[in-house]
Amino acid sequence: MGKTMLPKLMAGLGLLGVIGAWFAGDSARFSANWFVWSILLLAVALGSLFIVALEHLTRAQWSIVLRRVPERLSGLLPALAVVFAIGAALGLAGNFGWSTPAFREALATEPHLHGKAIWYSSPFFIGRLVFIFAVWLMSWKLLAGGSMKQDETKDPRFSLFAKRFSAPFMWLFAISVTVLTVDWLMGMSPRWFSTIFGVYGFSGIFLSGLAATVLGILHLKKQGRLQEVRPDHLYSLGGFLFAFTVFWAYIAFSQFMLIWYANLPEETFWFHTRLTGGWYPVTFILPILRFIVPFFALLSREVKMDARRLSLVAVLVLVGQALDLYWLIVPELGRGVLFGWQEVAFGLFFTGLGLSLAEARMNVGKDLPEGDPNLDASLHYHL
Amino acid sequence: MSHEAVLAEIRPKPLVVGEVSLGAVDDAVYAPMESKPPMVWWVALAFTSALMLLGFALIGYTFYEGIGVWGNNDPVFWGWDITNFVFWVGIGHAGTLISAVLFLFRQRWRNAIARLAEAMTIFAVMCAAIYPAIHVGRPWFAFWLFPYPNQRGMWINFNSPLAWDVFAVSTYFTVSLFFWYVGLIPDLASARDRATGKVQKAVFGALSLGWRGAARHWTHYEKAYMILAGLATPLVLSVHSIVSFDFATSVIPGWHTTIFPPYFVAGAVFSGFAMVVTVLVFVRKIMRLDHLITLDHMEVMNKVILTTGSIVGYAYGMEFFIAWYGGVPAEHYVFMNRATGPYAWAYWTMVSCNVIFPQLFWFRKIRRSIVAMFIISIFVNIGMWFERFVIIATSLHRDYLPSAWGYFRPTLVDMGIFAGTFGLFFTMILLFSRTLPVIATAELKAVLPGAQPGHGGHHE
Repeated sequence: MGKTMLPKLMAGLGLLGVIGAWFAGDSARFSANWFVWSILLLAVALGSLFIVALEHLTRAQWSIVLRRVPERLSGLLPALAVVFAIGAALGLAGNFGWSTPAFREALATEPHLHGKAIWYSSPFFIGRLVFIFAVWLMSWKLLAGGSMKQDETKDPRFSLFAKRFSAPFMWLFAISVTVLTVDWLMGMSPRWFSTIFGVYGFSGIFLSGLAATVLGILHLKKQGRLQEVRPDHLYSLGGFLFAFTVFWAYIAFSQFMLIWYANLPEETFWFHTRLTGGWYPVTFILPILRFIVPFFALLSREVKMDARRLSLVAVLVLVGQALDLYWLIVPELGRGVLFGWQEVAFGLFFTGLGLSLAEARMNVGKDLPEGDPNLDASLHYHL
Repeated sequence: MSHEAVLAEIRPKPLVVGEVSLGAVDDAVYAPMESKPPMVWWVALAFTSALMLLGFALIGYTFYEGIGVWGNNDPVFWGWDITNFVFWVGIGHAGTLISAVLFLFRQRWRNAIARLAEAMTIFAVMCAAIYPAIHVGRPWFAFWLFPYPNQRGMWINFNSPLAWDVFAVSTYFTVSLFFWYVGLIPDLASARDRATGKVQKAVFGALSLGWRGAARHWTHYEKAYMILAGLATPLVLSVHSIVSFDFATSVIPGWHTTIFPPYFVAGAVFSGFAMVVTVLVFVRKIMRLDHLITLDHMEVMNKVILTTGSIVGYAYGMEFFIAWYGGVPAEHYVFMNRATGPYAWAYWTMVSCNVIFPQLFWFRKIRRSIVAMFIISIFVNIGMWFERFVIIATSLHRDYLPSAWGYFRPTLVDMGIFAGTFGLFFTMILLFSRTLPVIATAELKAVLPGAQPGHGGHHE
């Protein structure tokens, strides 16, 4: 009781608000909120899956001891497939960019948009959505499920399989994440395009996975579990968080600077929306929250090794990702900054849902991947 | 597959072959510095320095006649000059990636190859730096690129990415040189201690700055090395990003695309690793270092080539996708023209060398075959040169008005100067291989079995 009930309480209260928002009839706003939050949770799950695959691919040993946490977090994927399916059943996608009547008409009348007419044709769109979820679910089953089975069998052949599977997985991951970011983020503004956008999406996804992994580890440690994870391991995770914080800034800056510098109207309108009116301060806060604060915080060795301060940075990274998604999606409604009881309700609901699901996942399987033949090296990892 | 065979697959491999004592490492690495060069070295040096002199002579000819002796024309104002500049800067990136980035990631296998790779960085940047200086046409005004209060009352245009290039490349060169030198200090001291000749002793003594291997020296050394690695890492990313800005800040179709910075960096690492493999294939055999620079090292480098080659392939795909998706007719035209226009031969050379051939590295047999990796590394070198040529020539040769269309053909002077930079590069490598230790022995000794306290290699 008490603390463990809090996420469920949040989700319950939030759900009431979400239902209220549905009946309030502002369906565009409802959809925007729905996708901001479901893509945030998806980023956590996908980032975690990527961490697992990256470890296998590079045969990294230091992180084996903490691998169960991202494996469990990637287990949010089936639930998120359901969340996306509910979104589709509610017809939420119908409110966005590529499916608005105005853009549908433009597709028919403006010949230079013929590429988009094909890309955003319904069968192709739904087909690739099903495909990317199938890829993720299958990879999750193979990597996380296989690893948990290895606890019992102690069969080293799984480790070899995981290493081999992770290489083609990287291609599948790159393609599926690009499809996700093009369709569900860039597609919100269907006339806009940027070749770096898939990389931008990836940087946020990896950061979300890392931050959630840090929080998952520290949560278990608080319960007296996973004591094998020492400050040395946290330091290395913190180092990754630092590196990809810089990577995000690098990608975000490259995208912004090149579009700003070239000043071509077919590209600048996207940033213009975000640099005018109420969006200007949001655009200003985003790099402070996502780059400047975590950058200076994580420079210090003490912060990376200290559970409390590292968890604060990890929370900040997830808040930054939420704000980033909000900043990518909501301005496209063309109604200025939307923040009211509906946004609070969605925040409560999805935060509560995510925490409850993650909490439940944390009890799946053993805390350590005991079947991994290299676990010993990881337990003895020193900087 | 037996249980043991599976375990052997997933366990880390030893970083040196066989039992190597600390003294044997020194003997193997310092041997070339302490003996007379073999005939083959002299023949190679004669060849490379002749090429280098040819290049310098043709640069002199260019100064005398003007850059009209090159193939550059209207509308292809940038030709081999900038292609070669980007090519050489890119080659340099592998050295910093190996010596700095892999150091920060604690990849100990890098220790055996970091020294040579970083030396290649310095030599490649030297080759690269020639081109911006000579392509300005009036090289005696090249110092105008530097901002300082002057009697002309003029400042450089700080808004120009070409000016950013000057800062990026010169900073990168300076930091790489310092990083390399700091790493050399303990080894220079070993060379001093081993030297028998008076002159060698004096030179290595001066260069090793009084290093005695005291604990205090090591503390300072490790701190300095870590800080320089931390500085070199953002620098290596920024250099090729800024090179990509030379193109991407423009509004020329095919150049202005947001993925350029990370795509250029990945391509630079890709080409640099290929060049490191090309050189190491010979160095480890001829200098008898193949037990220290093992086949496993080569295999890992081939995996990096496969990875970065795939990232480059992703970027090619993304450019094409957005050209189709974006619906901007000029972009659409440029990309179709690349694949089917007058430079289609160059484009398909690029795609096959950069994307298709490196995929052979999916097979372990090929990753571990010296002949195969040598051939593929040459393909990658060619492909990455063509990448820059394709970007420059295809976008420029179709100007906005068909009346201003043209075609670029290199002249013999273009080719001679490019050959000259290869001469310079390999001359420097040949000189380096006989005068300085090509492996960082102090670092390598730290990864020998038994060097790690507590654990590492002794579990069974």
